[in-house]
Amino acid sequence: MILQQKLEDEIRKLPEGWIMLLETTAEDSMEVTLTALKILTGSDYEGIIISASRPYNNLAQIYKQNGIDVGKLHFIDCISSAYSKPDKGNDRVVYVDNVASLTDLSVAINNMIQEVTGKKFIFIDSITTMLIHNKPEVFVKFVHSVLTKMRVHSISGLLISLEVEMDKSIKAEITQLCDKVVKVGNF
Amino acid sequence: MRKTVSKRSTHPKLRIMMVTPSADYFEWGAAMVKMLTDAGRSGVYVSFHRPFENVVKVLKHYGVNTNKLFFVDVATGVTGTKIKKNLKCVHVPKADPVLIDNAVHKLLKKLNGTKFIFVDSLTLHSFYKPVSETKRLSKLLIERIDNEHANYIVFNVASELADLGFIKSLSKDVDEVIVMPQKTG
Repeated sequence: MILQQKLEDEIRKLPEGWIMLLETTAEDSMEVTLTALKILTGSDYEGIIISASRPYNNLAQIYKQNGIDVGKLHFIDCISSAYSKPDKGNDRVVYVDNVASLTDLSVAINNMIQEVTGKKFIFIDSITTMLIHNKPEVFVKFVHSVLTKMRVHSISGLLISLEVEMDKSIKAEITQLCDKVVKVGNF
Repeated sequence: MRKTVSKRSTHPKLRIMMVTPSADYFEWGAAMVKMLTDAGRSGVYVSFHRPFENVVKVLKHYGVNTNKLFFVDVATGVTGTKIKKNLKCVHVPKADPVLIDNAVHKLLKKLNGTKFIFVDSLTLHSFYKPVSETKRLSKLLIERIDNEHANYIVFNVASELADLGFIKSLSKDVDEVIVMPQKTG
């Protein structure tokens, strides 16, 4: 409840089209994710989830078990295709070959931004995982590009960053691109 | 610290580097722009980070009178995002130092009184161009102060990036380095 209140307070202070970097620990990241998604889907947002950490099937199951309305969510799954042939019958999910396919991911994001109508947010889980699979300088430009498109379309965003060893300059550059940094969890 | 006064003008000329924690980067930048505009100055805001409409919206959120500003939007062009034209903004399609400097000059000519240039941010520019080009850009913009096209230039730099070679070099070319404290807990 404290976490939920803290996130709600921080979001309320920001202008529409806000982009927040949520810094947390690996142990706390799921709780933080679920809390943030409950807040956003509980209001009038539709969400686009970019997952670099878990496959769609697993995420959808966890979200449902925790009372999150997955009917308000769309997914870009960067994991499943690398390990199996995913079922492409679900129009709420787009599969990208792998986390390093940033061009494909960028196209998928652009398409979803057009498809999802109304007030929306983009949730990236997590930039730390994505950075492991990409060249840092390329990844910064990718994040800059995605955030600029979000800002042009007044789309809000949450970026999850795990508190692990990470290139200081890359982290600082990504942090600067966000409107607010919120640290949550047991550091 | 070196403060210079123009021989032809009564306005002082000042080159500033503000060093801000990355978590509070935009908030401190907005506070600086607010201070400058509240004091009656007008300026050109060079934005690498954010597209024009967003910078205006967020600056307004922090109480900045954006009527006193023109904008050079590099973010929209370098990320390949669709450009919406606006009279308050010159969109530069790529991170070319000469194109950016020319846009700044064009907008400075539209302003009256005491003028400033606010640069947000050189370190992101260096991801799109070799460092030599980023250094060239800072040199060209500083020359706008030396040539009396503007009175002040402010470079906003994240404190975590202040150790980069070209930023250290820039710190020697400015008159003042102002270090801002952390706001975010």
